[in-house]
Amino acid sequence: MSELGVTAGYRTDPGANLIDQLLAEQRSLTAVERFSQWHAGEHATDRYRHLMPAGLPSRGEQYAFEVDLDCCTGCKACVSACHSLNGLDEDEAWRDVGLLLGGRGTDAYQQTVTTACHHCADPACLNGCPVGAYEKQADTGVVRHLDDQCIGCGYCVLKCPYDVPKYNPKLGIVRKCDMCVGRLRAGEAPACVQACPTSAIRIRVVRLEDLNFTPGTTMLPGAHDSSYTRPARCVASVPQDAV
Amino acid sequence: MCGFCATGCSLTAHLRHGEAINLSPNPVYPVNLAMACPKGWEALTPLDAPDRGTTPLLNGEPVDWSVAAGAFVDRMKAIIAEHGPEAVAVLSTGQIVTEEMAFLGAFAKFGMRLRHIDSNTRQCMATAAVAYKQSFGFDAPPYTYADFELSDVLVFVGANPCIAHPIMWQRVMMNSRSPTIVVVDPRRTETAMAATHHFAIQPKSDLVLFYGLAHLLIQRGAVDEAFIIASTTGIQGYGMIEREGGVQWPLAQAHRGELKTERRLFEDGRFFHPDGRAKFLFDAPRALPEPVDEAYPMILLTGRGSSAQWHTNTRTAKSEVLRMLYPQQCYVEIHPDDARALKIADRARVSIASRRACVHATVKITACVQRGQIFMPMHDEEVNKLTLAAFDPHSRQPSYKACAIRIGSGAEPT
Repeated sequence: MSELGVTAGYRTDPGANLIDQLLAEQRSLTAVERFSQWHAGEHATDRYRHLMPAGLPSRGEQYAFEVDLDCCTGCKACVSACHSLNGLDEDEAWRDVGLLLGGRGTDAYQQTVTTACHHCADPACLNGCPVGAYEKQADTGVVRHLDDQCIGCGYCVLKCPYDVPKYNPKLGIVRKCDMCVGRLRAGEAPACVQACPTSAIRIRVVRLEDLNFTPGTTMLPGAHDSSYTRPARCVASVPQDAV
Repeated sequence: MCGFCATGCSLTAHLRHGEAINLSPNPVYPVNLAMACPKGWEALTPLDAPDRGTTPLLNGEPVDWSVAAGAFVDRMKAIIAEHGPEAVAVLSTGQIVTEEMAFLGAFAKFGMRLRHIDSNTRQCMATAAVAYKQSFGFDAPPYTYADFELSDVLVFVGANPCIAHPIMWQRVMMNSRSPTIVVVDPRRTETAMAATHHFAIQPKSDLVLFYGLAHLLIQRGAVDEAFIIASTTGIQGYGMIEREGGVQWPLAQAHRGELKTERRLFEDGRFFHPDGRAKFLFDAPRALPEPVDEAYPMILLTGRGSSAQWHTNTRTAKSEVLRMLYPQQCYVEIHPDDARALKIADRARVSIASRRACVHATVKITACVQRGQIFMPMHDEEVNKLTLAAFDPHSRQPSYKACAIRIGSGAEPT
């Protein structure tokens, strides 16, 4: 079955058996590829070309989400788009939003923070999985959850300090953000990146050596110590006195 | 076309076996430029709601459409025959397409010969529409979306486009002229935080501010009063509009062949009054319809809560994803100093009483509201119980934005 894309409401031909159906699917384009072809034909990709790196990371590098909080206005379209373009269950999204409040008087502010998987250099989810249901891709650095290996034990949910892997009770397994790596390989932006009206989310190539955080470093006030999993996430414009 | 707000985003429906299974923003439509807000992404979901009306009901029982239409016609005719056409009214909506709206109006007015028709747009846009009509002779704003990208100065008054119209705000972010953004709003909204200048004026003092500004403009000789007449009627055929990829405004018959997808109204300096001139109108500033007093010492402000909500959540609450994006309990924003004086902790439950009702909400302490003022999102039904039924004398738009309230402890009725 397609790992990505528009699978919500997938209809099956009642006459065909599962094997036939899988073979038929493999012979044709995936939903992502179809969408990608159609999408590229309408030049929409020009809209987010600048939000993606020109090519794959080199040795010693990996992909990372970068969020410019100054551009984020809190509309949360990234969450809806993640849900819709990845064909997730009705109550499922691999991107979350939270709110930071701070300041007083004319300096008062509230800042929406959008996060997905940080695709850590030393992923706790992967380290904690007893059945090898995680892989860290050698070329992209994307931490992928392998749905077909997962036994639903939920250790990764406990291990991740960023609340990223989510247990799906309907499927009996955990699922999480894969940076829409299928889209990235097809030259398309991840769902959240292409959906942001203010281009606040982008994909960056980061050097692994820059992810050797000294203990006590956090990416945002109140976030977990970055030296634990070495999250590959850049945040532009972090308010320093956030509470 | 997205049926939530009036921005007019085009959405592409993805079909499988003839059934829409997903939506994505139209990548080439000039309005939304490949973007949608959370409501747009989720616009299909409410259609699958289990409690959605899918068949007519007669006395609570499902009946087929011919039975329902027959009963409707008989009963309406009987009521009109007995009590006159004033006894029947149509309550319409701004969430249907223009052609359906025109048909409904014609059907009610010329078919059923009714006198009364109103819609939910009375609650948000009536005053603006009346003001446009009074000033320009035509109830539409003169600017176009591209002006968000082209302007050197942008002024937002009592509007929070970051949350209410994020697809419009993307145009502001695309403005490459480093525009000065001025926000006039009692609250420090998301838009105010993104602005160059935020003027947190007191509720209902906007007219005073504008008269002061007008005075300064006149004093400095910065006013251009050249208005010339030009007014036409008649709407072009729809086929031409379709060929041009949509059109922003209906085209006058006399301008046949000059269709542009995007244009500014009145850009030739001609307005839609008989003399062709725009009108300046002045009215004395008014006090708050319900000023604070000892019994109700604080002002309740209401407004949009989040981009994932629409009106009173009747549609947006049908989507689990949208529900994940806003607080599930009604909340109230209170200034830290007021919270301290009232001995209220963050996230506590408190009661909020107006002269009309007493409701409960969860406290969110934030300095984004001023002292003496609280804010509640308009989407929760509790808030509607508190608001005041005061009406603008020109537009009859209700003033739900502000009323006097009192905050009490959180003892909730069981």
